Amino acid sequence: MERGSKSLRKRVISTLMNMKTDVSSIDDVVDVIERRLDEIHKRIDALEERIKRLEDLIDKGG
Amino acid sequence: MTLSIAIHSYRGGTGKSTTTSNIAVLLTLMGNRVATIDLDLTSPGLHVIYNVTQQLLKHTLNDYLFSKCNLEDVVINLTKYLGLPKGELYFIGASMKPEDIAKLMQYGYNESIFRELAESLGKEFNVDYVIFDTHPGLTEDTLMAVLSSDISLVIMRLDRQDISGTYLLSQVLRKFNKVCYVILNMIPQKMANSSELVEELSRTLGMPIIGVLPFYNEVLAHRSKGVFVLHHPQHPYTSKVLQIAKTLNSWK
Repeated sequence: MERGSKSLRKRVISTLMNMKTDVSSIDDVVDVIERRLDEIHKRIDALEERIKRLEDLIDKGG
Repeated sequence: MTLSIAIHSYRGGTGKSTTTSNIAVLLTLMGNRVATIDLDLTSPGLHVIYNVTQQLLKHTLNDYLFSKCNLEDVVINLTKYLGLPKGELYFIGASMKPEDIAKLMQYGYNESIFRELAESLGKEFNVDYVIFDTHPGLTEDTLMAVLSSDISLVIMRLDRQDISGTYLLSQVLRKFNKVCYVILNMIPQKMANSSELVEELSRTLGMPIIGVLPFYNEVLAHRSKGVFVLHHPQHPYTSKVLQIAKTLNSWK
C-alpha cells in the first residue's frame, strides 16, 4: 500500500491545496456567531429572571 | 442496504467516540445490525467505552489494513457482551501499539478501504449501519473516510475553537459537495432548547443540525466506563441521543 496511489487521495489533497481560503472570513463568521450566541444567552437570562420574579410573586400570593 | 456514517469533528475532545457508541447502541436496540469502527487510528479509544480489553482485541483494523488477517478475524460481536436484547452490535478496534501506529503513518492505506469495509460488512455481516469514529481535523485520511461515507455527522461544541474550525470544515466539505449534518454537543443547559440557536448555526455553517446534546455532569462523571445509555436509560441525555438515533433510523 502506498500513499497517494489513487484518485480520491489526490483529489482530497489537490482540493485542499487549491482552496485559497480567506481566513479573515472565518474570524468574521465566528464573531457574528459569537454575537448571536451572546444575544440568545442574554435573552434566556432575561426570560429566566422574569420567570423567577413571577414565581416569587406567586409564592407571595400574587 | 448498508448506510455508512462518518462521525467527525474539527477539534478533538468533542465527544465523537461517546456519541458514536451511544448512537450505535440505541440503533442496535431498535433491532438494527450495526458495526462501529475505530478509525481514530493515531489515538484509538472506542474500545475503552465498550470495555473491550487488549486481550479481547486479538486482531485490529491495523492488521486488516496490512492484510495480516481477514475481516471476520477483526470483527468482535458485542451484542451479548454488552447484554443487548436485540439487534447485533459489531466492533472493529484499532491497535494501541505505537509500532502499529507508526507503520500506518509511514505507509498509509489504500483509499478504497472505507468503501470496501462498508460493503464487506454489509455482505458478510448483513449490517444496516457502519459507523466510522474518525480522527479529528482535516487530515487526508480522515477526509477520505468522510467522503467515502454516505452520511457525515460533524460534532461540535459551542466554544470559539470549535465554531471557527467547524466553519472551516464546512467550507472544505462544501468544495467536495458533501452533505453533512451537525450534532451540537456539551451545550450549556439553558441554551440547549433554543430553536434560535439551531437555526442560526445551521444557516451560518450551511449544515443542518440534527441533534443538540446538552452538557450533563453525569456523562462527564461516567468517565467512559461503558456505554452511557445502557447504564442510564432514563437519563435526559439518553432521550436526546435517542432522538438522533431515530432520525438516522428513518434514513435507512
